[in-house]
Amino acid sequence: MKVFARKAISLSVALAVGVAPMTPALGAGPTTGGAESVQDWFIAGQRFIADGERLQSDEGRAKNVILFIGDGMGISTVTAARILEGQMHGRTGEENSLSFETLPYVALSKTYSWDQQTPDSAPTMTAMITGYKAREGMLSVNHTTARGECRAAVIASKSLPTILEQAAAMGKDTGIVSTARVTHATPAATYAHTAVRDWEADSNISTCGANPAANPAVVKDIARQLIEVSPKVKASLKVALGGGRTYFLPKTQFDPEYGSTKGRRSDGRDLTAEWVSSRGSDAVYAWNKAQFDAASPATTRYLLGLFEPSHVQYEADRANDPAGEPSLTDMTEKAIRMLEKNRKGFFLHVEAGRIDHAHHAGNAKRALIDTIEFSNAIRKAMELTDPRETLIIVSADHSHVFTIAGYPHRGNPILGLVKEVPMVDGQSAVPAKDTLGLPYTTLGYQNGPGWRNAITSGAARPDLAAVDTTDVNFLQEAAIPLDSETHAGEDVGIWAKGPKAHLVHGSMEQNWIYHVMREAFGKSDDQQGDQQGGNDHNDRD
Amino acid sequence: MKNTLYFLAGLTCALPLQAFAHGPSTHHGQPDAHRQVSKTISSDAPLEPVAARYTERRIDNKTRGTHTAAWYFWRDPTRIETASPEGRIAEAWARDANGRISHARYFHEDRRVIEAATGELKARGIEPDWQELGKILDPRDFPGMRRIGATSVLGQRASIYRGKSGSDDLEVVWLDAVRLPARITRYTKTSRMILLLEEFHRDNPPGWQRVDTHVTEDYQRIDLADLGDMENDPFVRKVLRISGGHGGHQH
Repeated sequence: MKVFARKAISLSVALAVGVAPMTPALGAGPTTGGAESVQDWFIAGQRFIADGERLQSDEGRAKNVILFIGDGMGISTVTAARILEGQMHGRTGEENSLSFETLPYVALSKTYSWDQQTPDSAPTMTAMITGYKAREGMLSVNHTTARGECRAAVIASKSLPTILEQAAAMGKDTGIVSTARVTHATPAATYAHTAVRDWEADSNISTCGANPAANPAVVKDIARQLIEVSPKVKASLKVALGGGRTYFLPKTQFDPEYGSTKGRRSDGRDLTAEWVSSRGSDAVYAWNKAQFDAASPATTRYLLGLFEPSHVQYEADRANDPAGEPSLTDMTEKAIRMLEKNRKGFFLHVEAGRIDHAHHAGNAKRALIDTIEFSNAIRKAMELTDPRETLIIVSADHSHVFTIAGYPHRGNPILGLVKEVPMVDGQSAVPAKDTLGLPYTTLGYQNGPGWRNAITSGAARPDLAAVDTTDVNFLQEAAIPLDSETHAGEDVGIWAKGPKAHLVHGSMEQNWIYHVMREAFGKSDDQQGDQQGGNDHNDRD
Repeated sequence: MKNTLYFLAGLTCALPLQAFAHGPSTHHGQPDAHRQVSKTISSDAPLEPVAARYTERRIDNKTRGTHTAAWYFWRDPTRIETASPEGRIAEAWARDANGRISHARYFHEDRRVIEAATGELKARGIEPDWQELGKILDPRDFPGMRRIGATSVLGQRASIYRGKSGSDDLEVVWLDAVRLPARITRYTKTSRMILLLEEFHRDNPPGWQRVDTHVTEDYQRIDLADLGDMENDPFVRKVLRISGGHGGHQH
């Protein structure tokens, strides 16, 4: 009776919506689905429980801390990269895990800044690296800092000590690695203090009078801050790898790789040369892969590697770089091998900076390939370190308006058109259609350059039926036309392993990440009486 | 052509020379089958260096209002430039010894330049073809264009092409030897746009101001990749706003 009623209902629904009633294709199996048996699901669940039961929080101190940040790596980016990586290995993809998704402690991070609902990378990294939420566009200064503050003395009074600086004070070695410029917001927040994240070279400081580099009362540009860090940080900061060469070179000097490109510095200084001259005979500056490879961790004491005039190549394009560039994994490995020589331990920050840029361009494939490389770098770090003495934290600074849409079937190419599970077993999956009768992709953006101009094309949407949406240069569609796709305000993930990693739990404020790292290191003498939110104690402004 | 169009879409406000050239059927990152086919037909020998001056006229169909502007165009083996003295804007495509093509847009009033390396252009679906960039608009790249006659312009033999570019009617007078348009007329639903070649030279005439790298050396340089993180910079905000309000863009 119940079966009859159900059939009658499905028939009437089918007729009502104008489609033929479904009849089961006896003997035909599903055309989409995974490789799992029925039992596999239960067994995997039981294994998860057993692993969880064995999980013990590590209350010890961390000798080393590595903070990995995927710039703009929102949850949807992690999911899509996970699927793409799995599919690149010939699997359906959804069941895959990126390296850091195997870490035992996971939380959500609330990314808003002191003055932004949806933040940029400057206050978010400031939060994670200093423990304080801060203002838009500002690096490691407290939220009472005025926009565009030029005065070095004021910046000094507002400065927030970073975990890198505190590690240096503890006698540890430190390092930064990024696929963005080493002077870009995320890596820069670890060592620089400034009200304007864009003041990466002295020529960028346009609002602090003429020739700001010659005026000691004006805050130093970020590249110069990297070279002229405090004596303790200078001794500690053994490795800085990434892009941004032109910010260290004078305007009169041509770039060694791009003949027509010149440096950006107005003060005439070659900071790459100063890195070497100010750090002794074992200091090395490298600008290409061969020089990078030649820098032995055993004999190199200080290593500055700047592999492009601006950001380094996207991972998808890296192999085509004539001068050669190390991958994020290569740089991470080199950094760890250099830093592990210090018996007191180290602090290392590694950023996958180009995930963010590819998303801003509306280019999902490049963003995902950079995310997979980020995962590779973390896997390498886990191989090279002892989880009993190294706390690894992985997170993002903010998300992007990047979505995974429709009802694609299991194993549907993540960069492809949506094809749903066929209504009848045995039938092949065909592209789902929108209300205009046009297919659409699984991945898309809420805004950005991927908007197609309906006004001049005369079509409400493009017909993607014959388009290779998996091409690396394909721009996913966007609903709202913007030349640059935007960040998003939802939470991002935090993954952790090692001493004190269990403190990463629940729904966290982003600045609490710093407090976990600080707790893992234990307080140094410097930290016992460290500044509460800058030296001016004026945090109620 | 397609690549010029991509540039327009990705790099904010359009320069009219390229605005004449755009085809409504192309979209970001989507290969256009027609263009791919015709591109092979029109692939030619290296382009000769040239300096050209154009006048652009836009006539509104309703109001009959007219806007006129001057444009300069230069091409040589490693650099293709356009400049608008009125708008104080210039742009340059450069090709290095490794064949990498980069782009720079100069905003002289603001003393800023937005630079895009090869990888950044690719990330926006822009893969420039040097030949196409150097011809502004080659009617043979348009599948709907038909040669309907011949004429003489500035002492040069020219072919006349007519046809459709998306929903627009297009007429191009094409200098066969110089491989440049002598006249482009585009009829849209709302306006008529005419680009007229006034003069051209093999060498740059005195007084024609190409981008002076000694002057622009002091401009603040912005990586195109950074625009998304600089929306609070008044200049970047202005550039993005101009772009967003430009109805002629192909997105």
